[in-house]
Amino acid sequence: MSKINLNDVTFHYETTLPPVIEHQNLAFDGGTFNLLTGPSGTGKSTLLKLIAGLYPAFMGEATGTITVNDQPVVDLPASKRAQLVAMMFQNPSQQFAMETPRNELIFTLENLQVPADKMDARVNDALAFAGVTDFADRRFTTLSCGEQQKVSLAVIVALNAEVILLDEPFANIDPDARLFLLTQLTTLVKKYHKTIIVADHDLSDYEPLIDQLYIFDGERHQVHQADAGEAQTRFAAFEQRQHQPAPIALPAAELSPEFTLDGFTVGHQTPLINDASLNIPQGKFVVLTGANGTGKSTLFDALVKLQTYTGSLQWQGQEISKLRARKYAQHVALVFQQAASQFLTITVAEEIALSLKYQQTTAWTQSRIDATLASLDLAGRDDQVVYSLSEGQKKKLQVLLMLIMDVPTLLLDEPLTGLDLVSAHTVLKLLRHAVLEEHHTVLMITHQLTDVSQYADYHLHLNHHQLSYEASL
Amino acid sequence: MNPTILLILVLFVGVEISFTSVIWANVIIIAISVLVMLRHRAPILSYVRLLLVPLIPAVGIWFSIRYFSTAQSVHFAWVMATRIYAYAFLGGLFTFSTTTEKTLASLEQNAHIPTTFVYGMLGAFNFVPKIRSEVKIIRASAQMRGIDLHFWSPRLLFKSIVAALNWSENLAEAMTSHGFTENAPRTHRTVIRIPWWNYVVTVISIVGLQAILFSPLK
Repeated sequence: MSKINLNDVTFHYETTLPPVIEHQNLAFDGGTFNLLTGPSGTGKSTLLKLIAGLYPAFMGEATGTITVNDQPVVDLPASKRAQLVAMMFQNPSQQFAMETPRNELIFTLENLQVPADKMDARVNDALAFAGVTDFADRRFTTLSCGEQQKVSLAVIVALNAEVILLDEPFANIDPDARLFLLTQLTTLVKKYHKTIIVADHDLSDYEPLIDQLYIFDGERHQVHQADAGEAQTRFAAFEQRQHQPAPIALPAAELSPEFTLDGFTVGHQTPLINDASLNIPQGKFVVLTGANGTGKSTLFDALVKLQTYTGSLQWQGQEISKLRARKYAQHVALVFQQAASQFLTITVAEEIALSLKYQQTTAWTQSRIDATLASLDLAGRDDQVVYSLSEGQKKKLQVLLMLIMDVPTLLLDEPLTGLDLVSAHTVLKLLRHAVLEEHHTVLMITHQLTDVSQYADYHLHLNHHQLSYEASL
Repeated sequence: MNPTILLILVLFVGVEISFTSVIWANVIIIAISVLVMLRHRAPILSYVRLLLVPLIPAVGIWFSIRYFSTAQSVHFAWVMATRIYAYAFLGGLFTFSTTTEKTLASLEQNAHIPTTFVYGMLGAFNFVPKIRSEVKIIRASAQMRGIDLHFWSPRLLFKSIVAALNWSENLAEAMTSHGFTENAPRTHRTVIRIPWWNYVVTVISIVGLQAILFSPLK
């Protein structure tokens, strides 16, 4: 008998919208490690939240039944359900209600009505298993994403749930933390006979660990179990798509610097970037890479005065921490990783009008904007609410909005996420044009490296708390 | 003292002095509050703040009653001015005798107020630092678009509300997935009791207050 069964499940966020999941029948066996994959935005999170009973309780409309241990999950009270199905979310900072890891664990066990005298032992065991004993009493705001995901694992262990669901759990965390979490999850399957479903679009490291691969087909709104042959093809295809580096130049010493780092250190409790000293050249297209959670976005935050640092960080010879924010923002601007941080109004047309109103030069005219919108496949969406755009469309709009501003130096944090290859080329071409024709400086963080070397001048890499230029991209 | 008992006592005292006009009662309340704050080692700055913040309303009401009311009573002018300080220091007394967490836990266990309210409040308090950093991001983002948002800008408010709605949704999901059910029974790692002497202190305080209010003291 299967542990989890989905029986003819259909789910809509709104009845007027097309379904995310349609007539889904699916079974997961107990004591197995399952991987659910598929393009981003297809509905992997939705499926996990349905199994966890969070949907349709919080959002949407569902038909059909989902059972865990033959009990329909929607009928269980939260305290019973949490002991059956536990979930780790993608964004680690948004899954805790209390101030410290220990208090979160206590809160959880109190909800389960664990007797007070049994609580401390269970809390300590869970903290030890997840490797978080050392920072159990530190505030969540001082923990890195990797540390927070470990705390999330501790909560799951304390819940002692039979089914563990993980929704893109490694999106923001560093490779060491990822490896540790994967090892501990494998222990939970092998030793404690837990059932695990991980939703991830990144297949690396999973092949030897998992028992079954499930694939979400966004066109058919359905998930199917891959047989051995299909799984092998998928993993092989993923390996093949792994980027083949191409050679790229190293910056010459005589280039005039846009940014100068000297003994620059940034991070939270422990430094992410430690004692870095180098130049980022002016009027060039520089790509910044590095594993998740190593501190790329934190460097950008420091560059736009959203993060304090020690040592020296200069923009055109002036210390950034001493610059006036309003003035400096006219020279250096950021395309945020979270699209929602970029948007200030409601519709696409309003956002463009706002950028046009305050643009620094008149390089971007209405006709140029219209042509660019068409090339980005965003034409005809004037009245659409920006928040309802797909992730890729949001990214394209963000880049366009900041290009219209015509700020001399543009920092872009993962602008290629969720973009198909054609769109990625269009965006890269726009950035290249800004560098070559308008003499702007572009510094871009990306994980998506396919063909990027055709457009970029230099490759800056962040690894082991250090920044260095690489000769390949 | 137990936060719930203390809260009830403070509220009782606050309400009672609203209906009476004995300057001495207000002064003694302020003195006791200062003693309690001293015992809890309140920072100097908090006394300064408690003296300065009510200064304008206290002076204002003193002058309006002394010179612009029909009776122009000096006594009543002092009653009102000291009453404002008595309220402020009662607040100080309560704030320094307990913490938000302890108060909410006590309200949950002793006063049996709904857990949804208690953990909703606690969640909201823990979100304060996040709201601060979000406002910082929104303002930076606007500056990069050439707009200076002040804290009263409707656009800043709108963006903050959008972010808060999103967080409240996530927080509710997080609490549910950690086993929280609205108003379901829970156990408590730290059981908060009400020691017997709390009742004694409460009774003495209330009786003492009546003694002052109904004594010849003015």
